[in-house]
Amino acid sequence: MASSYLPILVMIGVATAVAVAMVVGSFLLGPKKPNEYKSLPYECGIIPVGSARERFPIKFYLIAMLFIVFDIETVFLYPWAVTYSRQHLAMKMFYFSEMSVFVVILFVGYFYILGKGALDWDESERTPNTDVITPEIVAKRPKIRFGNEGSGPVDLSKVPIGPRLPVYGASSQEEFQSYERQNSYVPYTRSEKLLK
Amino acid sequence: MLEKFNHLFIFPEYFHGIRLPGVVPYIAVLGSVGFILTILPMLIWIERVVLALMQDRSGPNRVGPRGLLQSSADALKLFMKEDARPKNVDVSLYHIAPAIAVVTSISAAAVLPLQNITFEHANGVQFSVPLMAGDVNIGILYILAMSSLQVYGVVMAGWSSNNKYSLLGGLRASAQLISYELSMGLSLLCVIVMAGSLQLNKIVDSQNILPFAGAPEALRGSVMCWYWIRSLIVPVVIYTIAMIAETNRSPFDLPEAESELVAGFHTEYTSMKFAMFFTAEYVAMLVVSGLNAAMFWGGPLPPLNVVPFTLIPGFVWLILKIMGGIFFYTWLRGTLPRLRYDALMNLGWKKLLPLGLVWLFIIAGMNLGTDLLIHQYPGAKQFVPQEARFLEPEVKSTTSSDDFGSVDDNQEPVQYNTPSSGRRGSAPHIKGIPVSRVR
Repeated sequence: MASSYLPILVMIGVATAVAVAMVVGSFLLGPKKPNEYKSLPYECGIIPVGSARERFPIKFYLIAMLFIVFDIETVFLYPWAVTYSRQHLAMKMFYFSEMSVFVVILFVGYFYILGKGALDWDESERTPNTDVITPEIVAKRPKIRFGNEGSGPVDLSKVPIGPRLPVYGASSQEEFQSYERQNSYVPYTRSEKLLK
Repeated sequence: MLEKFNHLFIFPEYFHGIRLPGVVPYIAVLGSVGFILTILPMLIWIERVVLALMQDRSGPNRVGPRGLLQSSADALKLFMKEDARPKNVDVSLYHIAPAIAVVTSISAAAVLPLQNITFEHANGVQFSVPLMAGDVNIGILYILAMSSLQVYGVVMAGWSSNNKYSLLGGLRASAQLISYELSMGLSLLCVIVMAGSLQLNKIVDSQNILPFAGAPEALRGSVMCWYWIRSLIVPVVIYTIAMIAETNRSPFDLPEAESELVAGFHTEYTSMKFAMFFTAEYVAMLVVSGLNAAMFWGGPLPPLNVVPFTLIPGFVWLILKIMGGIFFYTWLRGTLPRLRYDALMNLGWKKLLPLGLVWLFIIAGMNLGTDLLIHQYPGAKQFVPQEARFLEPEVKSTTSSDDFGSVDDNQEPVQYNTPSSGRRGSAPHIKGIPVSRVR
């Protein structure tokens, strides 16, 4: 029986050879003239802003976790489904009832996550979770913003321009430091505050 | 399967000392990979021409007759293009991702049953060998595993590209793929419950039955015996929706939504690496359409067991059914607008998943109910499809050594009257060699 897996391995080998041939072929045949602008990430023609490895919605994690639960359930169903139809009548009734119990338990969990709104992709459809989070708590929460989203036009006079260069010729070390503090945005450390 | 054709071409078991049945899987490997790679430009051409017809424009018409060589010319052009790599990418993942996509999608085709080939033993006993690369007892698990592995290619491409659109496209694609994999598995389980095997060859064989006892031979393995109707249509609908979502095609092409995400996870890929994602997508379309054909539409079986149909070899029928699937893809692309992402997720999780699970139990209950009916009224046996379980009702445990689960090599494999194991009808026992042993 193991020998019937050998052609599959051969098939995977052939497929790998095809993939490697494609990569190597285009590497050998294509021109290689890199320049600075070619190697920028594509953002519709403007200079890319910030890192691409941004935060992304937690819903994707949630979907992944729920997938694992239901995928394991499907894995349980496979051997059951293969052996089910070839059982005796009595055994088949037993098989059917056993798996019904399993699936009923699974459906209880399914309706629980459905009621909790874990499957609602759109936030506006979601019923608020009144167990833990009250509307007051929701109202008190700071609004999460990404970047300068919703902040309107930027007042350029208030835009920080970074720490200025220190003025050389300060009379003492202390004067230099205080000058630097005024002109940079580094707050006092806790220990410095205590000392004052 | 395809007896009349098979009896026209019967190959000897040994040819110049080479045992031909042992070579068959390797012929299938070369044949399927070669077929896939040669049909790909044709597929793209078919899609473009059909879309052009639907949108009332000319479509490709410059290179070759009716633009037939356009896609080949495009592929050649992509080979000649520069393989530009943007800075700050995760180099190893960036290079591996398209290779994973191609390898998983091509190697998933290994377990599709193409047709049966009849050989003749030296003592005159005929037996047939399925023309497929891997006649393994976990065929469906293998295909599902390979299509799950495609998620890795997508995620790695999206993450490593250092591009916001790529990241979002990769995330969307992975969430979509894993969501629809569940309903896909459940719709396939409806068929597995009826066929009692994960082996695609056996699933095709279990569709090659008489619809009811005493039916004319012309109806053996015909349209009405295939699982699309025997599983009461709902699983094939679920599977078709899930297969379109699994391959990221319109109307579920959210990961590559041009209007919002440029090109999704392969935005940063150029030249042949882009073409590799393209290849992987089309090969995945072929494979899931092939699985659809084998599970629900009879695989290599002709629609009627009469002469003009049975003279056409099985793999041609399979290819015709796959092309029907490809046409369906194109039809949807020309017709339906793209879904919104929350509608996509709702369809997968709130509708298809519970429907598939409930339908699995309807199918299992039907199976049980039929057995109860036959137990009560044995005369009812002639009104239900002649499945394998009714031919040998007194079998203790129908273990053959290559079935899933219990392995018992000493026990004689149960000989069903299915044509894949020798001649149809009376099994030829010549000089005491049972057919089941020859294979």
